[in-house]
Amino acid sequence: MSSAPEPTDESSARRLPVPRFFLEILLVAGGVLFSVIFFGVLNLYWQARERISQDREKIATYEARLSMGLADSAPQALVVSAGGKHPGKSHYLACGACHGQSGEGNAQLKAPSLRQLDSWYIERQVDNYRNKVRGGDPRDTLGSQMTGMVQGLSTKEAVSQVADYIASMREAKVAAPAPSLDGDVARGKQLYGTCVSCHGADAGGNKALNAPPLAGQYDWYLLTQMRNFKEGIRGSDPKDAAGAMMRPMAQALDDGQMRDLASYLATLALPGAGSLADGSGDQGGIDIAGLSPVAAGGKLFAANCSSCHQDDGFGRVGLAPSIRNRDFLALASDDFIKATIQEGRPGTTMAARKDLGEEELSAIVAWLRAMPTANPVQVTVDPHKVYNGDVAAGAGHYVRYCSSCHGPRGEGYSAGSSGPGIGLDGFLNVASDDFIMQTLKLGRAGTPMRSFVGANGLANLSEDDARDIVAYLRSLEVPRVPAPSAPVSQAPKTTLDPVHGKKLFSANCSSCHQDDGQGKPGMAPAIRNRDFLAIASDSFIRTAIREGRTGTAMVPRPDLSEDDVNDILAWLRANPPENPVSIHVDNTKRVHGDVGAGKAAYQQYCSSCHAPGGKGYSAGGVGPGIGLPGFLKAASDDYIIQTVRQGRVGTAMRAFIGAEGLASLQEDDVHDIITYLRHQQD
Amino acid sequence: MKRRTFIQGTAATAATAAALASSKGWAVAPGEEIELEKQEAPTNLLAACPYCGVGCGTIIQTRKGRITNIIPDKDHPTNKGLQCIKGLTSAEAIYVNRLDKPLIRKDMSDPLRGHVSATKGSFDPQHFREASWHEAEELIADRVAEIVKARGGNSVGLYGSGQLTLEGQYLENILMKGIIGSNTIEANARMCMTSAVTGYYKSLGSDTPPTCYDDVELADMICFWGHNARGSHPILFWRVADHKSKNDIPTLVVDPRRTGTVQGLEAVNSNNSYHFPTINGDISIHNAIAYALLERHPEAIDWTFLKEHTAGWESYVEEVKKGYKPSEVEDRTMVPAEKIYEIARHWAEATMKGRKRGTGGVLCIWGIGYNQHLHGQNNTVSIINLMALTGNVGRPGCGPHSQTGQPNAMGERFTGGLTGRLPFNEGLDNVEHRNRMADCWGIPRERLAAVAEMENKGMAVGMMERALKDDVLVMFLIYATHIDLPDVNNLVRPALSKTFCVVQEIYKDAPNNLYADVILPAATWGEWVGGLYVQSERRLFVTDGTGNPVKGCRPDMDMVIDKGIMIADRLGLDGKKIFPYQRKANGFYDPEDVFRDFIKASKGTDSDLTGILEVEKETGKSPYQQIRELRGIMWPAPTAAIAKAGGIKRRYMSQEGDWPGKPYGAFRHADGKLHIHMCHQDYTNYREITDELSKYGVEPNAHIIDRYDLLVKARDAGLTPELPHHEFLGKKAGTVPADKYPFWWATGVVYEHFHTSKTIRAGTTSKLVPEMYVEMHPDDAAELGVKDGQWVRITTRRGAIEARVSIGLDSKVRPARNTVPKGFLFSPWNLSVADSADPEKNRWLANGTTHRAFDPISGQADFKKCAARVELL
Repeated sequence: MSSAPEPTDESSARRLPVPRFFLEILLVAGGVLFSVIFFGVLNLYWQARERISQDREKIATYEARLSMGLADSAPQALVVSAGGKHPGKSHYLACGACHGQSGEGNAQLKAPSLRQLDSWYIERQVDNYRNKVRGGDPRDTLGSQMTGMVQGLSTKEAVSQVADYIASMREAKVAAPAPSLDGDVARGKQLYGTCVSCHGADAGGNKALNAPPLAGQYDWYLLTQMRNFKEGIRGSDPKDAAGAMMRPMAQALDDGQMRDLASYLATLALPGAGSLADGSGDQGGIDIAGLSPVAAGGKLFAANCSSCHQDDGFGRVGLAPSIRNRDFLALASDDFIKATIQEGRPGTTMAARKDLGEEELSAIVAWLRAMPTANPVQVTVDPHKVYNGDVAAGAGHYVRYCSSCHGPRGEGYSAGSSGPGIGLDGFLNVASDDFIMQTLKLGRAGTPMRSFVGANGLANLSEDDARDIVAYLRSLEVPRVPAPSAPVSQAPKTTLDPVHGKKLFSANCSSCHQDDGQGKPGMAPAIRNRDFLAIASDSFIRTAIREGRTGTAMVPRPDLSEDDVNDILAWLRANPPENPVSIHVDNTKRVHGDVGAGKAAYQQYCSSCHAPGGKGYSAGGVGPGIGLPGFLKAASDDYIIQTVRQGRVGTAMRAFIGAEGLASLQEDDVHDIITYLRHQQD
Repeated sequence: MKRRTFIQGTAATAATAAALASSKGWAVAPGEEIELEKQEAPTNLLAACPYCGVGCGTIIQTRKGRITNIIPDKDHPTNKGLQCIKGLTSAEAIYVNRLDKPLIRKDMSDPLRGHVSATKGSFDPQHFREASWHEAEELIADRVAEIVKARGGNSVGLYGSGQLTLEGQYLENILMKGIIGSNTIEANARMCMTSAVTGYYKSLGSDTPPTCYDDVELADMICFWGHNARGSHPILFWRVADHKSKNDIPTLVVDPRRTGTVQGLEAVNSNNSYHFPTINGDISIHNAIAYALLERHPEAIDWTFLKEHTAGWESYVEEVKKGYKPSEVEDRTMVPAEKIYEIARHWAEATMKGRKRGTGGVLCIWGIGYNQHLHGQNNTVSIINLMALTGNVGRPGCGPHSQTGQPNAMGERFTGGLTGRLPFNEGLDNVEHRNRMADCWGIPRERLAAVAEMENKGMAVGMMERALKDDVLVMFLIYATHIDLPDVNNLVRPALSKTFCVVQEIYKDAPNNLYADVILPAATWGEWVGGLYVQSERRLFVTDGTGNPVKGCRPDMDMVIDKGIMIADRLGLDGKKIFPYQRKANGFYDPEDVFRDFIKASKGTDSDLTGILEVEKETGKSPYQQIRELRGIMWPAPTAAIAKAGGIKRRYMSQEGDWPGKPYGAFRHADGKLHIHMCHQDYTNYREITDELSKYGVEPNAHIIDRYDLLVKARDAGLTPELPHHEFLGKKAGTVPADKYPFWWATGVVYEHFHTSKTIRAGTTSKLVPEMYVEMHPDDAAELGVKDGQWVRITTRRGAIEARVSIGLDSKVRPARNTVPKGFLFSPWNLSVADSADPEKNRWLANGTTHRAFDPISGQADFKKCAARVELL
């Protein structure tokens, strides 16, 4: 799912849409040329400024509403009197008439089950009903009943209490709703792969993403709601930001698929108490004891790999390749797969997973190889084989057959191409000649890459032609990175070599940060620009390279020697594209702000791009993960402040501080945000 | 070490190649003139691919107003970043061999005075003079008006194209039916999929493919009928193959040849991939499967559906039971009975899965191999019968899904640019709709009423025969080649020689120019201002362009407007009122103005698009912008909500969703039902009927439009236009008597090429498959005494071509992709003029051999079943 999460702020009326606006721009960036986007950003930036002033008016309106007691207030902590009667119970009596006194719902009355829902979700829906954000559509007869019912909950407090009471019912022992549809559970499960990133692998929901739990709900109710989202009966009110997210999701489904999904969800166990905790759901600690290797592998794959490679391992174009298909499995040895999991694939979002042990790796491989279709193909890749083709002929073939997707010289995405950069050293250093050859011969199912060799190839090339292409790609190669066997114990050299640094950069960093270091939205930030270089100290960059950035595609590169890293730094700092600016960053500065205010500010201004909780790309954000320990460890408080003050040329990050900023924040607000981000880590 | 030296040694060459790549654009063949001035930033345009009807999303990269490269659009829902070799290299054919000035033949044919030009058949520049646009257009308008006044509007014919934009097609129809007052308007759609059109119409009540590509990934079984998808619609094939490799669904390919489609699916899993190598037996196969289902899988028969939503099922069931026991129709199916039962079992299983789930079932896909028959309409009708019997209609993941050849063939059908048709799925005989269209077009109602009375018997083929009979005097060829019509040398070329022929053409040595009296240089795909294409799943998609055609060329739509206004004025109509369009600052008309009028005219029809205008009112987004952002809208889009959701994906059985005032019920027929019509195959009088049919194209002055009774008889019995003399098979070449034709001879397409003009001029594709070939069975070759790679002549009663013999998958003749059954020969028609368009030198003209017999309702010619013999050279 490429859609980005909504901010967690419950009060959509309060939300300033500015960051979301950037988010929209960046979503477009996924499909459009970088250059186009760049100008688009500039242009839209001015529009955004205009909208800020409009938003100021909205704030004024909001304040007026607040004074009339109409607007929401910040979530309040609820106190449940120990052992005594729950304050929400009396409010719930009326609800229980339809939804059941244990919140189990009632199929006859078309009342959904409530007891699996969290209080934040109940509160939002009650508000939505009250404001006819939900249930206001004349086609939504059941929803319109609710718009009347919620008027009985006269105060905000009453709503909170009833919501909390409902949440407390989760422990009650009631049988899960019986399935009533005859959808295809297996297909539903497959389809659920798209939903998993928000609603969680166990369909337990995710507050950070505004996603309610789906497990434990009636299938007919889920089906109705999906249809409602699809038809715009629900989620089309501009105030229903979270619902709006579901609309495109539902629109991608036809009725049969919805039915399949609902039937699949009906098979999921009702989540137990406490499983609906805030956060993305920890996937560690998978228990595979007693399972067959294939079953264990399936479980591990679902927990660790499926959000990119999809539940079935068939991948998703533009996200991750299909790896559970005969073409790939024919090409990839067990060791190759295991090594890739453990070491990651530099230059892609495949991060190293050193935490998985041999038993787990073998199980994953076993599951991958237990494909739904039989008929495996056998291919041996000889990593030492060298194909000596005709470079000139290969160049001709490349221009004719490869350049449309991979770029004029294999630059890949950075040249606006639809295929990856196979002329980049990041690829050429990893792929052996035979790997390239076999890929040309076999194609790669689950990606647009097809076989190009033979009568059934996309272009009926001969093997000699393919050999020439391999030779041509190799001719693009700059000399290989110094072999790892080179002595590292030498004394650090005193002269820096930016030329060497550039080569190292293209070999090691360019597939994400792009050849020019200008980054790519949704993938990696620009790091060769004056704003970044002005505030990032050498040691900051060094740490990032050596230790990686946990939770992002930035993997640790301890294999690069100190000299190498210094050379890369030298190149980064050599002749940056614009005039250098000098900004003093006080790395010793520590700020102390207010966590609550910081959280609210973060949600308003930052979460649209950086994702809730600062989880960044991994949570579907278009900006990097600034709430992750890797970043927070490396970045000083003042580094963050200066970034928020200056913005970052070449990225979508704009200044947020002061009258010229995107949001006219005060420095104090940033202190709060930093404090919140750091507080999350504690 | 050696390797490194080697690379350095050739570095200079590599650098040259690289320089070529960067300075001349990408994927452009060396030596072609493409100027790029580097200082201008490249711009991307969204377009539908200019080739087949799959309609892949294509990004045209341009620099300084010139097209430099094509990249596949990974965000387009159809191709998802994949494209076939034709689309990927489509930029190569744009700036080569272009016409850039109007040309007037010095010795023009003058049909009113009985003068036939002596120079027809030549495109030698000395037979033409260059003219200004004004002069050429005045000449055309004067001549056409004169002929219309003397002989009536119906004496003007037009052969249009599925390469034109929807807007151009719409206006072209107004020009012909509204202004000129002619019902003689045809298009290359007629040779491509009108059998599907008329079949849909007969069964479902409207020419609407009810399915979409996304049904592929939902289907539990997929059948390809007469469709080598691997060659003709590769992206669709790859989607099916990928789906099969993920979900292991059974597949069936019905095709005489073991094509790449058959082999590709077998490579995924040969245990559930079936191939029925039938010749002409589709209808019998459908009926035999129906029999097997009724006999052994009663659970798969959807009686409720039949009773509630269909008409005519009772007699269908009865006649199938009576006459189509699989073991008793093997002479026609050419398939052993047990294979029919196996398919019936898979069919039943898939049906039950789909029915239970609410999505899925059996999806049937077909192409021209199924449409180009004397009984093409019945092929469509009989497959829909079988699908209705098992309820595989009206649910996602199942149903009939025809494929079109041209990128905008659907547009042609949609705009009604065919004899007797009006836009939006209605006929000229629908008085209410006709009057509405006349009002929308600003044409007097009685004028259209008069056109409705006119006949164009025999449609595309008939139009040419009528020209031979001096009944058609003017011929417009717009973005269409005449060599896609059958029996070119005996029918089409003599007809074009007699007429006053106006050609809109992009290439200098195009075969159309041979017979043109006036040639207007046209802008091609990617160069025009824009417009829409409609792909096989009803998706309207933009074909944006640079707005910078080769200097001197004009978009076809602009030519229609200019000509239309001039002719209208000469015929006493108000041209400016009919075509109220203004040139924009760039010098061109804006197709979006036309599209808005088109949308307005669609109101209330079964293909209503007015939701798009509602969205425009609501959001300010122009129709094209909406279509760009959604990567296409599937017609109809009658409400704003539907338009915003990308139109209607699937039709019938209420799959349309919330559509207030939907002008039909469960199906489009007035009774809201799907109509089942039993179709038969009866070979009893095969030889007699085909002997009579084979006179056409041979005997002078024998016009097949005079023998509709014969065509109907052949159609009703499910026959072919000819029947080979199989008794002479196995004889050495040269020993077969001159009047005997032992082989089945079929023409079709090859993957690397699209039709006959662009890909043979593109460096990459012409390099991959450069020459005419004939696929032959090794036993036939041995018996004839010919070897792989040898040149032979393939002769039919009407003409001959020369081709290289290609035997099997190891043939040295590219592409060596398919094998054929014994007694069967196949050649691609795509290379028809790849040797030369000049008739003196042209040896590869495939349609010089084909038969003009056509389906009496769909008008589609039968290119698949001719009788031929092989001669040595």
